[in-house]
Amino acid sequence: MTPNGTVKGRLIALEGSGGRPMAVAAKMLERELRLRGAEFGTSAWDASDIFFQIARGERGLPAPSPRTLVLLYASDLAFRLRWQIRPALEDGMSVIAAPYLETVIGFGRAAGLSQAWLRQVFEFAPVPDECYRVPESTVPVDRRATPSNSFLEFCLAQLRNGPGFWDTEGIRGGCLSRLTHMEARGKCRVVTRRLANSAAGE
Amino acid sequence: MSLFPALARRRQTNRRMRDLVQSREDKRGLLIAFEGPDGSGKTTQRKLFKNWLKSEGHDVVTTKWNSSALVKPLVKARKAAHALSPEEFSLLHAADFRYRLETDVLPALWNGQTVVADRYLFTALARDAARGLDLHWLMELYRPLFWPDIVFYFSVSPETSGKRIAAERSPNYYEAGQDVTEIEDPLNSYMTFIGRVIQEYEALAKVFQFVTVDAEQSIFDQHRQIRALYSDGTRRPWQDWNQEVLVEWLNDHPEVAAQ
Repeated sequence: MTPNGTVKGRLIALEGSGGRPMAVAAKMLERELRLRGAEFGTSAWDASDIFFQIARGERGLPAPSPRTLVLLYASDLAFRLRWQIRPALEDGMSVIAAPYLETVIGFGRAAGLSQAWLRQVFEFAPVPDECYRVPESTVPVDRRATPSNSFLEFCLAQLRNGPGFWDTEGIRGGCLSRLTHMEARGKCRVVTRRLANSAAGE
Repeated sequence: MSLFPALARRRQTNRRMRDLVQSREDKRGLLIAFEGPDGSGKTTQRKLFKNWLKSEGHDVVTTKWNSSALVKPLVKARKAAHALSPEEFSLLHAADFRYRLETDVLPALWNGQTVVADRYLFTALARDAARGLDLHWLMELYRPLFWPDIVFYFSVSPETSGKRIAAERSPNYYEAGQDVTEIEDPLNSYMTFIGRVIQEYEALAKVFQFVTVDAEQSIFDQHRQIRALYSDGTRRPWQDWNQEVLVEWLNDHPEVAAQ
């Protein structure tokens, strides 16, 4: 695999269903980083435009399976790592990756894929220094994520289009519950203004 | 209560799906893969073989490498811009392969059609390993593996491959491996890169017991050999790892399982 180079900066992962809550959390972190004079960059889902192009050109095609969607996400993440995340880290900057690994792994697990396979596919991605869960319960339904601004919602919309029957609400719930469980086990923290403040200073 | 209800439900239905796969064994089609480096003549042989199978009364479908309507346009645009890293290239090919497997190959096999694959996942293993990627990781991208009934491997030397390609056209940027060799002249780059690809293929051919066809022979001799090898082959049941893929596919397509 491509050598990672010398990594000096900090990688901060934001995980959740995406959309407005994710954007607000990223802005909160950015503001704290700016206040502390830290240099930072942001890497968002679909920087490579793969999913946008699929959405634009999909008319009449059978929807991709969860496994195919995970591979497409991995390709987009490889793009983000090459052009956004690694160069910024190597320059000593902080990078906010929103989302990064745990959302896609949660989606894959909830859709029935094995944890081992998911971890192996994303072996090329460095472990983040910080991982935050973005809660969405406080956000009004009409301001939540949509298929055009969220990987998770994009995938669920694909699965709803068939073929086959998918319990998309169950998959959504499973993916988000997994993040809550990770938080309970101390593997990530819920992002709050106070935590954003301390994350920026760490 | 399970964190992933879909996973729990799937575990419950797996046994029923396995029984269904086994009951389909006699009616299923065969999957035959044609593998080899560029310029080995496998596409010519694939076409001859397909026509022969049709003349023998088989219902045949073809699947080609990197050809899905979903992923091909993405790869094409990025190849034109020389914008793909080996990892991205590899992951997009794996997505294309999985999509074709689930939407073209498995439905055809399930319906008793013979599927002839012009390149299969071994193409990715050989080319991407030649690009310096880890073979173990590459294999993971294609898991769970779906194994063909026969893999015909068309073996040629780098020189023959280079001569045949040069006689027709100038190899394109990725075909010539210029993304990794950094050699400016496409043909020179191709000669360096194809040597590595063939090395990887030869190793795969041994490990996975491909049926090797000497692609330096005449077109007719190769075709005769392929027919004989196919006719002499014995039909074997679906292997365990193929069953895993089929069970996952049936779980995702309950309408097929319900037929």
